[in-house]
This record gives sequence, C-alpha cells and structure tokens, in this order.
Amino acid sequence: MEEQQDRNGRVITITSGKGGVGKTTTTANVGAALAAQGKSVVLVDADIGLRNLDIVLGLENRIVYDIVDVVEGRCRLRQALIRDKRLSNLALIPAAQTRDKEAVSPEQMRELCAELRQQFDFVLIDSPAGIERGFRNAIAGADEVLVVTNPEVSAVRDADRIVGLVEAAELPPPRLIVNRIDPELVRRGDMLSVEDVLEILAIPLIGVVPADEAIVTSTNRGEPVALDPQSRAGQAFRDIAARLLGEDVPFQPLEIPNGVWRRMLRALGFGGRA
Amino acid sequence: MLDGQRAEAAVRVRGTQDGVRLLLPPTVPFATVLAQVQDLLETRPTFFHGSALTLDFTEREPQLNEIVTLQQVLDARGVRVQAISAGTAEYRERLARWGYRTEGAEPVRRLRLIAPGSDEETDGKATYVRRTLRSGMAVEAAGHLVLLGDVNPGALVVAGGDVLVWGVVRGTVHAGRNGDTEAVIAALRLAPMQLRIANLVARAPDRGAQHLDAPALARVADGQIVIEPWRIERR
Ligand SMILES: Nc1ncnc2c1ncn2[C@@H]1O[C@H](COP(=O)(O)OP(=O)(O)OP(=O)(O)O)[C@@H](O)[C@H]1O
Ligand SMILES: [Mg+2]
Repeated sequence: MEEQQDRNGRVITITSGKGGVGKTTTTANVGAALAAQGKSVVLVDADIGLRNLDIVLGLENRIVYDIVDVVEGRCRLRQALIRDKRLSNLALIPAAQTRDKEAVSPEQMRELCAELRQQFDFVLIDSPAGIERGFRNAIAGADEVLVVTNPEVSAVRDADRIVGLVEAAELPPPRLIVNRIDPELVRRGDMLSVEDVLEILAIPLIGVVPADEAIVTSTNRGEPVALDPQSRAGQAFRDIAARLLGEDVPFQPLEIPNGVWRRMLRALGFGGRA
Repeated sequence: MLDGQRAEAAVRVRGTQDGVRLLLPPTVPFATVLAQVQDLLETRPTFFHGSALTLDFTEREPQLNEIVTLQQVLDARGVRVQAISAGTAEYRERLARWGYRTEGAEPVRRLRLIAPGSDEETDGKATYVRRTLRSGMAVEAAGHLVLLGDVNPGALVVAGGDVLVWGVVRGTVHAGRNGDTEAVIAALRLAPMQLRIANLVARAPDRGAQHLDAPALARVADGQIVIEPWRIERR
C-alpha cells in the first residue's frame, strides 16, 4: 500500500439527528461515486452496535476486525480496512456490532481520522442517529459535515438541532442533502419542498436525492446505485460527489417547484442573506 | 464520568445557602426525570415559586435538550434556573459553550445562549442577539430582547420585557416573564409554536395554521394574547 506519502485527505461526517433518513445510503453512494472518480476513499462506520454500512456495500462477509479493535489496539489499522469488491480505491472500516457507542471516545476518533487522512483523499464517516455520544464521536475528527434530512417536519427539526450543535463545535456550516424527495407529493402540497426545508435550515444545499425504490433493492443486493448509470438517485449521489470535488454541477430540475432556484443559488452562496 | 457516585434513581432537592439545588439522577431516562420534576413542582408549589435554583448535573451527563426542557417546565412555574453544575471540566466547558453559567466557572461572555436573566434593573435595557436560534437553543434576557435572526421550531426565547425579532418566529417566545402584561412580541413574521406574555399562553392552531405573511405584533388585550399586523401608521 502507498502508506509513505501523506495525502492530507478531507474528513467528512454524514449525520442527521433523526434516524433512518439515509445517512448510510448517502455515505456508501457518495463514497462509491468519489472512488469511481479515481479518488481514494475510506468509509468509516461509526454507528457502533448497529452495523450497516458493510451490508449496503455487500461486504459483511469479509469483516474480521472492526473500528473498536483498531482503537483498542487489537489489530493494526491496515487489518481492519476492507477493500471494496468493485472499486479497488474504496475501503471500509466496519463498526463493531457487539459493542456500544461508549467503546470509542471522541479523542480516539480524532486520532483515527488523523491517521486515515494520511492514506486517503476522502474519509467519510457514517454517523449514528441522535445527538449523544455517537454523534460527538462522529464529528470529533471532521473537517466538514453533511446533514441529511427527509422532507418531513420532524426530520427537519432534528436536522436543525444538529446544525446548531455542529456550529457550536466550531466546524464550518454543514451542507445539506435533502433525501427521498417525491416531486409528485411536493407538487400536490403533501410534502415539504426543498425550498421549505432550506427556509428553516438556511445552510448551503449540496444535494437533492429523489425517492427511488431502486435504492432499497440495490441496498439489499449490496450494490450502490451510484454505480448504476441509469439510476436517477445514483445521478444525484454522483452530483454530490462532484460538488464535493468543487465542480459547479447544476441541480437536476427534478420537477422542482418554482422559486426554489433563487433560494438554491442563495444557499450555494450566490448573494442573498448572510 | 459518573464514577464514585452512588447511582440514584430519583431527582433530589437540596436547600443550600445559595438557594435550591435539583440533583438529577444518572442513567434514569429523561422522561422519568421530567415527570419527577413536574411532580415536585405540583406537590410543593409554594416552596419553588419565585425561587432561583441550580440544576445539578454532577451525576448526569448534561444534555442541552434536557436542560432546555427542564428550563421550560420550571419557567412555566416561575422558577428561575440560575446556574448549572457539572461533574467534569469537559462538561463545564460544554455548558459554557452553550452559554450557561456554570458553578465555579467564569461567567459566560459569549452569547450563544444567555444564562437565565439576573435581577438587574430591566427598565429600558435590551439584550441584542445576532444569530438564528436553532432547535434546542434558548435565549433568556432580564430586560428586553432584540434578536436578528429566526427563532426556529424547538427554540425558546424568554425575556423580562419585550421581544423584538428581526426574522421569523417559528418556535416559542415568552415576553414579560415576570408578569408584565404590557410586554409585546414583534417579528417580521409570526408563525410561532407558542407565544407567552406574562402568564398567558397562545398556542398555534393544531392544524392548518394560517400565518400573516407580514410583520406582526402580539400583545395582551382583554386578558388574552392577540396578534395583529404591524402597521406603520399605528404609532
Ligand atoms: N432516496 C431514497 N429512496 C428510497 N429509499 C431510500 C432512499 N434513501 C434511503 N432509503 C431507504 O431508507 C432506509 C434507511 O436508509 P439508511 O439506512 O441509509 O438511513 P440511516 O439514516 O443511515 O438510518 P440509521 O439512522 O438507522 O442509521 C433504507 O431502507 C434505505 O434503503
Ligand atoms: Mg445508518
């Protein structure tokens, strides 16, 4: 392995507050999309006790060591890194299934991230739901935070809470991913629009992912949709990866209601309120 | 974190020189803690009313949502939280970051969340806060409060006097907390979860709330809170 050179990678935490909104799906897909772009990527499953990321990537049968083994020194970092079966520059550090969040401290996470960023261009951390220890662990070593929400009042409320805590941790303002948007429901007024969500959260938008049944089936097969060129959700994840790489990718006009463009532009930093 | 302490399952009350302390138990679910505090307030209303107390988190890991919720409950009973104590330096630092006054620590200067108002003169004095209050954040001022930013759902503003929000109010605002029914709440847009003036409470309608899409002012008229559009010619 190319361990001698320090890649000085970016540590990005994917979090949400509310559970089940798509953090793990996002981590797996954005990671796969970045890797498909030729970046070296490691995904860290920080949801200790509720291991998931390995399943989404179809790697669960390869786990020998996990993140707790690493921080407790039972194995070397290299031994816990599982290489993806499709993308040779994508790796995973799985969570421990039989331990809880207290098994790792924020300080240990910071150390782990510092070590990983030397070897990878991107370190993506899949956070557990909630605002407790697991969340604090997940952001401990982060440079940037992506907040995932669904267009639902309760998910947005929790996302708002998380944004406040991220700001309190003196990290840069997190960027927002609105996942599982259903344009038809939005059109009928039965679902919050991206605009509604941005109005409350007032943070930059980095992705809008449509609700897509294919995600459920691809998850069950362990095949990230980001690698399927036909998938619209996959395209949305590839766009997020491109934006992380600094590309100026326009938002797909997924039948987004009028008026959202101006707000999106503002959210992306083109003029508007502070 | 909690070592050396005997695990207690109940909220305990201690009277000390510095006032009342509420000792919060470790490991007990917060819902239970909250129920016990509410119970205490019910059964000993005169003991607590008008007092200033210290929330003692030395046995329990301080969580912002718990603190804010306890404050809301105590607040509704006219009980002021004057300080919060914590077991470790890390927790004290965390409390300070949230803007709370911690026992034995330097007074908080940074204005994330303002510690409960002191008894200083409130006449004509205003506190200025420039930030959006997100879910779980609380700001409290002894006098008037001017906020440049939004009050999001799940956030709380409490002031002894008026509250003026140059932004959208979607959370809860309490003006005139010491009983001043002359206090008003004004905002660029009032779409609140709840407004309180003195000891009156106005709740958002449970469904299909229609809010004025214009600056508005809430005040007390005929013993209830009314919201009116702000008209320049009025004053
Ligand atoms: N855009 C989408 N369209 C349809 N289904 C989705 C979408 N995003 C996620 N899902 C599904 O929602 C479920 C929850 O997703 P996921 O596990 O990624 O959420 P999470 O935030 O990581 O949850 P937890 O808080 O439990 O860790 C999964 O079954 C996933 O397949
Ligand atoms: Mg997950």
